[in-house]
Amino acid sequence: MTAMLKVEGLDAFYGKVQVLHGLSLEVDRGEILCLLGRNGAGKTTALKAIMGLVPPRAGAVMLDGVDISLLPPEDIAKEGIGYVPQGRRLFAELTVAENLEIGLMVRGAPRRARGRVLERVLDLFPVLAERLHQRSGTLSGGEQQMLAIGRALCLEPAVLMLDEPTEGLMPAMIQRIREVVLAMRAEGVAVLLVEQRVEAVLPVADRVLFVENGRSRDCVAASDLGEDHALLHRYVGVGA
Amino acid sequence: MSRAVGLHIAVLAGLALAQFTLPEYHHGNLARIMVLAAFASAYNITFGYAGMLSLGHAMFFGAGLYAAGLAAEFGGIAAPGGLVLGVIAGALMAAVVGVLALRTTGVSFMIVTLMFAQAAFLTVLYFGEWTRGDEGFVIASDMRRVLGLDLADPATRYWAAFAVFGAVMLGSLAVARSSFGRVLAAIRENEERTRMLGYDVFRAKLMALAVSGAMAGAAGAAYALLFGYVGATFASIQYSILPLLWVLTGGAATVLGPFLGTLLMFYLIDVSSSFTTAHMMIVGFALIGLILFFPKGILGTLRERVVPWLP
Repeated sequence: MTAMLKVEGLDAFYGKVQVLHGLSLEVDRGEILCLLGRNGAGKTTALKAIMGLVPPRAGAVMLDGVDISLLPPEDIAKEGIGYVPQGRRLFAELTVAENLEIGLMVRGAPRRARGRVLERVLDLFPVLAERLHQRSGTLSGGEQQMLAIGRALCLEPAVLMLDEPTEGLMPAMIQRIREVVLAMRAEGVAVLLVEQRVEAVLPVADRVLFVENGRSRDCVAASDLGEDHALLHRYVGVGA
Repeated sequence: MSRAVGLHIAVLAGLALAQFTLPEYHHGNLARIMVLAAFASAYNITFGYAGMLSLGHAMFFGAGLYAAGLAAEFGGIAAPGGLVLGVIAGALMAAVVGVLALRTTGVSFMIVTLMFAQAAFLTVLYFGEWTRGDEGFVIASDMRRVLGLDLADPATRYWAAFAVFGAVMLGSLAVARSSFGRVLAAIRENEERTRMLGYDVFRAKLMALAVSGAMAGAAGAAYALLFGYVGATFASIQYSILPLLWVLTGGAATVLGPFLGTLLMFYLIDVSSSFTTAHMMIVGFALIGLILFFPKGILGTLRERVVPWLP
């Protein structure tokens, strides 16, 4: 069986500057892969290239065995990749319910199926259920992040990509978001996580892929990283 | 029936009844205001709901105006047909311009739409032999008849203006409450995120522009047929700025805002110009006051503070 999301030899450019040099990665169903690397290593660009926002010049993005690298971003989203970019970006003037509705309407599913999906998302984030009619711009940072993730889950994605979801949040929120990521894994979703902080990664990730200068380097099991500080030191400059 | 729908029906009912009580002068004004408010409502679809600041809506209004006017002048097509042609001309023009202009956003979109509108305006002048350019022409009175009724008659004219405005307003309400309207609002708030969620943003914006163009075309055609005059002024930049002003005054992304804004601005100019030639200065002060106290327009600010259910 092939991996849910498989990226091979991806090259991407911003203008004339090459940012990704043959980046490759694989995430399977029910697995959490974390991209780790310094600022500017190309982690966010990798997600954008998968999403079609930065058109890849070479390489392939395979979703469940189908090449999606030439599709426009809106079709990639419909194919089943949910993307929560850095900095949340809600529809601030719309209410929580309307934000979720935008997510639910995408696939044109029948109303009953939508209700079921919405119920599941609200089960994951009970705090959103209490605030359905509040304008989303007035939520706290953590609640906004939950809504952004919740909205992505409304598409029932097969692959969920999160770009620094816990950045700037308080510990209780970080814990909640971590639980949701683990819940998604348990349901068989392939999760691709971008982080800069090692301590945010190790408790959830199954495998860690180090990214350096737009290239994928070592890929190790997260459990092995606890002992092996050399890799952390080399790629992110931390560790003792 | 929800209270939102009820409110809009009540406003329409009030407008229908107003014509039996208003003195002649205001009766005529209100007919004109309703047609212009239909134009403002059209503008509100793209600017208010979809967040596209166009500086070229005069070309859609003008397309309707000239479609109806030229059809009457040269084709012998009378009022109802002229209105239909106006709607088609507005929608078609918006779709064609949209395909090109929607490759841009923000300031570039403003510039590109302005450029197209100026090109349309100059085209009207260039073909002065038929359009009579700035001078314009008067539509023959036998072309201004619907079902045997004369549109120059004040009561008929009022009902016709009411019908056009009512249709456009209810259309706006339907858009605002539909899932299409939700998507437009999402695009306004964050275009890229909407795309990431799987929506074809270009198509949605083009649809919005075409709907807006059709409404503006209807308003333009109605203006030509009801008031009997067609001239290049109505395709000039002034008529791209006015709907923006009306919508900002009444409240962008509110269904009734365009009408309220048009009404207030019309009477502000009407009243102030009766005792000073510097009436534009008064309009300027009014706009400054508006921005200070009603930054989201009158109904937009009311919605934020008092009536959150207002569509």
